[in-house]
Amino acid sequence: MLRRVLARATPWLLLIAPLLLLFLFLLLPYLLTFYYSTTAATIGRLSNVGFVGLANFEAVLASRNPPFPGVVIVTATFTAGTLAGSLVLGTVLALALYTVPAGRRSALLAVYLVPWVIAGVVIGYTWKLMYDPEIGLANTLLGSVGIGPITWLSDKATSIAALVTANVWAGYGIVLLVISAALANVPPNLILAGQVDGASVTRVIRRIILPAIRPAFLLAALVALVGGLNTFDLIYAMTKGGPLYQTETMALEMYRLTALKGSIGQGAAVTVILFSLSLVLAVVYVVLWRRENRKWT
Amino acid sequence: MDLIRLSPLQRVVRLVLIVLALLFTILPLLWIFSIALRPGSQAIFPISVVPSSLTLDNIYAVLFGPNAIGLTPYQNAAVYGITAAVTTAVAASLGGYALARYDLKAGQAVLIVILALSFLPAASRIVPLFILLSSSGHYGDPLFVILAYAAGSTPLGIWLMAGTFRQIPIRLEQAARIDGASAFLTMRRVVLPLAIPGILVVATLAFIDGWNAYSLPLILIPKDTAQPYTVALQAYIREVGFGNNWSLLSAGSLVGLVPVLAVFALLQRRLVRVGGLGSAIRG
Repeated sequence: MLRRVLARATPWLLLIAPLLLLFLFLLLPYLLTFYYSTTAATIGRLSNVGFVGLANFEAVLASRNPPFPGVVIVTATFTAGTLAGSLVLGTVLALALYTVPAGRRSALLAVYLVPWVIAGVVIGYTWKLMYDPEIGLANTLLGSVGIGPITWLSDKATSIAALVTANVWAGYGIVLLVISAALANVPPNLILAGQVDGASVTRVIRRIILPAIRPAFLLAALVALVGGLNTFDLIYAMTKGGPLYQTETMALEMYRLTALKGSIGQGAAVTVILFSLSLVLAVVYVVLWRRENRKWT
Repeated sequence: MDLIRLSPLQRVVRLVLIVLALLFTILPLLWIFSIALRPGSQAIFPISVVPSSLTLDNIYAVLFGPNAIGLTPYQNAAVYGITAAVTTAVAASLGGYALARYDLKAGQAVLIVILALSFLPAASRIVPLFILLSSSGHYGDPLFVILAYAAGSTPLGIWLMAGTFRQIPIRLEQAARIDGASAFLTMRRVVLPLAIPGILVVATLAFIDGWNAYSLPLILIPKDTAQPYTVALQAYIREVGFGNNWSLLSAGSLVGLVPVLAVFALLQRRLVRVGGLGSAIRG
């Protein structure tokens, strides 16, 4: 009797430690954030805080400096740019590598994946250096063909594009990996059949390969989307959201409201907005991931 | 026969794409290395693309010079990385084994929720963790920041370890038990040695996350002496206008890059596989 109870309890005993860790440091913080988004909490005052309903959300939406729609536009532009850039680059490169012999391909993949392991903030410093008006490689190369110095990160016209380029550099490797793994699973017979029927390479890619990898494509798109939406380290290292808030995304806004302005309630409100957006994407992601994972393992 | 036969023109296009992507990936790193390794007198406008001489002076200056951030921030990052790696490896092994060897309907459901949460990157956890640590009186305690990073690495770790344990035949365990080995001995002498490659990958991913930690220590650790190099390097950034100390900032970044690049080089084959399978559940 005791043996059987013990045997049934074993897996749960094993799961106690990991579940506790995950509950305390993943789930609980988000629950607290939802709670605090409805309170008047500040950095100095976290206990006995009054309930204020949706006042924090109203304050965030109505904020003038910077105006919230502006922050949303910056966030959307940055995210859309990251998504488009890493998807196009990752997919095109995966297709180019598809016909490369497997040994050489995995060596190349490893090189393309190097930015994946680098700290977001170091990526930020690296690209801040690339864009430096005086000693950056961008201006040095442009200068050698006679194009005058560009102040990439302080100019409104170039700053977001410059950030997007850096973020694509940081993230396209994972898109490349996901697409490459999916390409390796396209049944060779499908492609051979297409070739025998006389289809050109571009036609084979468009009509056979791309439809076959569509689920992986969606998966990669979601990873890039949530990655773009939540980028903090890189932007903070490169521009801190400036100059004049023109590169401030929602991720930076929640940091500024919380840490610099000291309004826990408003910071929590922005976090809840961003969290809800990400969670919808995350649910779609998990559904897709499980379907794909079954195929790959 | 090749699966797809390319025309000569298509081969050229393929080569150009591969080379351009290589340049895009490598040039920024080469540039920061070249600034880190050239004398400060050559890191000013107008700058030459290729330095005329190389030196380790900047590296020395970052670690020991008058403007040094010193060794402490790197030691702190190492503590972050190693502690997070050990914690994650233990938690992921326990959880992975439970999921691999027992049929748990409820466990699967819980894990799905956690997987969804872990998909949310570190940035969205800054404010929640700030609130958690402030309200519980642990603000400024590095251990809690490390545990937060370990928690972030654990879901993917559990998934990878479950896969690793499933590949170990359960017959091996049963045989050891029949021969009279205790559950603990079976674990230690039979299962764990076979699971080492998986554990190594999980620990490496967690180490990289811990070593690279930035946003959470930035806001949760007010004490200078407890911060990792990622935060300490800010000392070389000038907020307004020009005048960043690029020589030292580059050298400091280079020192921070060496461990992750070394670990990556050692384990890249396995990590590339994991990256494809886990498809970046990391923030």
